[in-house]
Amino acid sequence: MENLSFEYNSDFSIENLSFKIEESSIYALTGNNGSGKTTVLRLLVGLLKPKEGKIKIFDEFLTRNRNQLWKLRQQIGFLFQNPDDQLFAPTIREDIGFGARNLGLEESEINDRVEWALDAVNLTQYGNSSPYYLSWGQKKRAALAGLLVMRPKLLILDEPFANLDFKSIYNHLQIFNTLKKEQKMTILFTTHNLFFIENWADKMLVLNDGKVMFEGLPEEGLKNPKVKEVLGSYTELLTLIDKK
Amino acid sequence: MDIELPFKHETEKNFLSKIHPLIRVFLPFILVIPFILLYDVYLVIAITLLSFFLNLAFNLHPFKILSKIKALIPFILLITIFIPFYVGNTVLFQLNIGITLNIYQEGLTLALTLFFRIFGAAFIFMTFLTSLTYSEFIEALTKLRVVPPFFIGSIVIMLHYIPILAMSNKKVLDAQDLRGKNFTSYWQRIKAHAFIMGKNVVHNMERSEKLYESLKLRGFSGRITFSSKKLKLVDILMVLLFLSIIFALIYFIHIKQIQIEVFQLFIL
Ligand SMILES: Nc1ncnc2c1ncn2[C@@H]1O[C@H](COP(=O)(O)OP(=O)(O)O)[C@@H](O)[C@H]1O
Ligand SMILES: [Mg+2]
Repeated sequence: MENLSFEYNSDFSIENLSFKIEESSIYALTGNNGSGKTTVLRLLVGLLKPKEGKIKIFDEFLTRNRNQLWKLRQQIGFLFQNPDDQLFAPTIREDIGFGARNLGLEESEINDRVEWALDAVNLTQYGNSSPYYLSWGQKKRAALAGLLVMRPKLLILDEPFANLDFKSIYNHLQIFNTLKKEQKMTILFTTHNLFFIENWADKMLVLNDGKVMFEGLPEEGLKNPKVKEVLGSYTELLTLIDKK
Repeated sequence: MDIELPFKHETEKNFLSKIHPLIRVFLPFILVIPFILLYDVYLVIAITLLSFFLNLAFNLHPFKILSKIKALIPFILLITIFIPFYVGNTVLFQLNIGITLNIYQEGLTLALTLFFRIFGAAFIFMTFLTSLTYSEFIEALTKLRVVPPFFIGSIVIMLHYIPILAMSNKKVLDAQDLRGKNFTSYWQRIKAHAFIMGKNVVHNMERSEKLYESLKLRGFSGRITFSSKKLKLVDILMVLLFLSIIFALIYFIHIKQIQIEVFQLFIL
């Protein structure tokens, strides 16, 4: 991704964004609410059109060609922040099958993949339930399974850990780690939670009001005074809530 | 306030589940033919009753279906109720309410015929519609080549948001209640409802765009398919069977005559 810029009609714009993600690594896109993280992700999959600049994914430049977009999107799994915007079929199993069916696979292959994906996200026993009745964490995992059936190379996760309890975060991390190790998937995720940047990401990029503030290793980024100032820190919070 | 779409749950099974969804969307259209072609009021009532009892016999929950179409009844009444007052010339009886109103025999018959035609047709349509699961309904639409794929996509998105919309309306109203909003009159409640509905529709339009994007990202090309069944011989036979029943009803006058006589015996 090189010198990317983008503007909404309103006053928000992204300027001169460049970054590169190594294969089968974990990349964190961070910044405060409204800093433009989701916008960058939507640019990457061609849901938004950049004003200037080029995006290169899997050695191919992103164009507006529908066929190319379609082929590219088969290799990218995009997990929305809100699973309700993603789950639409009457049962989890059918929702997961949707992506595989669109690939035009054989019915038996589709079934194999659906069962594999259900197992990968530990939802096998919920296959025939309606998405309406699942918990938030289960919905997120169901939505994830819907991407996995397409066997993507790149997983794009928008705020994957938001709204989850510790146990669910544990389950999700376990799933993502397995996918990275066994399927060699590359993971690009957004978060405003320093914990995941510090302990999970291989590399990070800090956005502030649409502009890049830092790109590089998390160890270094989190020490950077400017980054600390913008993102805040635990120590800062503790000044307010020190019990003693 | 749980809004439910008129579809069957995946796990419910009934007699009609064995028939291909496409046929189940197609059959009601054949079955309403008698309602369009037959002018005999007894026959129309007979068919309505027959479909009700068949429904009962095959355990398709006719009362549930009735409760779903009861909202239609005021509309049908509105269409039919005035006919007896001005159609026909055989006066059946007279109403004296300040002015004298004649109720004509021909008009009454026509009104009854119309009423049972619409009611019977609605009942038959609902019988088949409620026997479909959501995915069977979509599958049938997909198989019917005449429905454009874009349209199917819109239907899916629309159906997806109806219960969500209803639920979020309820949530906003609840939240207002919790913050002490006191609806003193029915009219106020309706106004509040309309306002929230408007806001939620806009909000959900944005969300439906997101759903559409997520479908696109998963390779949606305008055609939604869930696992599909093949048409079997039984299904074709089913259509033929119903077709022949209907032609029999229409063309074998003596059956019609018997029906009429039986009914005249009991009713008039
Ligand atoms: N569809 C849109 N049209 C106009 N402005 C938008 C749209 N979506 C987001 N924005 C604006 O762009 C900015 C960045 O939003 P977003 O990328 O969602 O931030 P983040 O995901 O980092 O919280 C916000 O100020 C938001 O108000
Ligand atoms: Mg966001």
